[in-house]
Amino acid sequence: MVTGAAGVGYTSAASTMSRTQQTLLFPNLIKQVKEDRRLSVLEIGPALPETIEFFSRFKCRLHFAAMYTDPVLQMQMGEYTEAELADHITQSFDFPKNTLFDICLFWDFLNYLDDKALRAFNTAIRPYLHKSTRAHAFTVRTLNTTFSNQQYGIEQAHMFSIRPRQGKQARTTPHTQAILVNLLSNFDIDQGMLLPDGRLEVLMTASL
Amino acid sequence: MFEKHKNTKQQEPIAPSAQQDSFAASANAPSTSGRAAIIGPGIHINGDINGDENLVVEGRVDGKIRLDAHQVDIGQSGRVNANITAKVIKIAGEVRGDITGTEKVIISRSGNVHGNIVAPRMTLEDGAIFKGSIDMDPGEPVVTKPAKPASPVSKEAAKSVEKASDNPKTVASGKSGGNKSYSLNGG
Repeated sequence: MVTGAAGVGYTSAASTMSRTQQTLLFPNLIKQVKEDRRLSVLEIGPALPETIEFFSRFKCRLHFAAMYTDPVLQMQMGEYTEAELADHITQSFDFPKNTLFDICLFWDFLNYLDDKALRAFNTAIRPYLHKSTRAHAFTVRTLNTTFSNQQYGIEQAHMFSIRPRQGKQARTTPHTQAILVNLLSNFDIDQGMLLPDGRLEVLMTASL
Repeated sequence: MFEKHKNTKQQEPIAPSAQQDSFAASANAPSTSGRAAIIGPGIHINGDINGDENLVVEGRVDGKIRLDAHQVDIGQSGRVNANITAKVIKIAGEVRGDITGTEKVIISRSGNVHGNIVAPRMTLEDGAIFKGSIDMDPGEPVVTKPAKPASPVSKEAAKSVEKASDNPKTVASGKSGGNKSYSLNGG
């Protein structure tokens, strides 16, 4: 194993190599899950085997939105209005009627949306939240923090998997905590943890 | 249009070589009747399919597929725009529609599925593309593993986020992200 900067360990030279990352906050989110009711989870990224396996222990409905490959990431650079972007995101979501999420896994997706697109995202996701909806995301403490072209999964409650994402990385627009809560007004940040690489891991609760 | 197999090993190949891998996969798959109807790559069916035997789709189907007690294989060249209900559903091609597997659903690495899945067991292979929802019910009480680095974070401390964590470092996983798959519900 070769250890790189910031304590990152690599296990293979293959392009598909994956890493894991400890999380102190995610267990706090999971331990609040009630055993006696069906859980509704939004995974904003792609379906990964480890994420499915992790949630297989729960009675739940797991929604994979695959938004990292959604055209909205290109549309936001065009002349679309916020309302048009919100309509597009709603169509992309394509969630069944009456869907209300208990847990939203945003990962670093919010940092791929500029201010206008993030407000549109906030509008589009509003109908699918309830007062106790909780979310996990990565934001930044300072705007010079960069995001790698990677995708996340859940190995265990305290361990995320990180894999290289195929394809060209979309433009990133990192948001600090203060800006994020302003643009993503459906959520308040409950807990945050600054990571060694400058990312800020946060847990949020809906503020409806 | 349909060709039936009692024993695929004794039959002449009926499909182009490009499809043979998926046919072989079908032949090796659990079968409830030992017979399989095949929709070849040059066939386009617009309508509903019901029946009492297994089905392999290498062509295109628009409509519905319902084979409650049998297996449906969507081969790599299969393009299905239909809701599918079957005992076992294996997907190596493209499917747009809702999928109900009364026993299990398997999405192979070449599979591309857009729809909602209901199944007691599901396998998603590495590299498979899926957008939609999966209904899961393990059928037993939820067991939440305690976090190893059980280090509670106070709300106030977290909100300040001024202090870098000692623990959240990245570590080696010991897996290469290769051809890995998982089964749900212990399957």
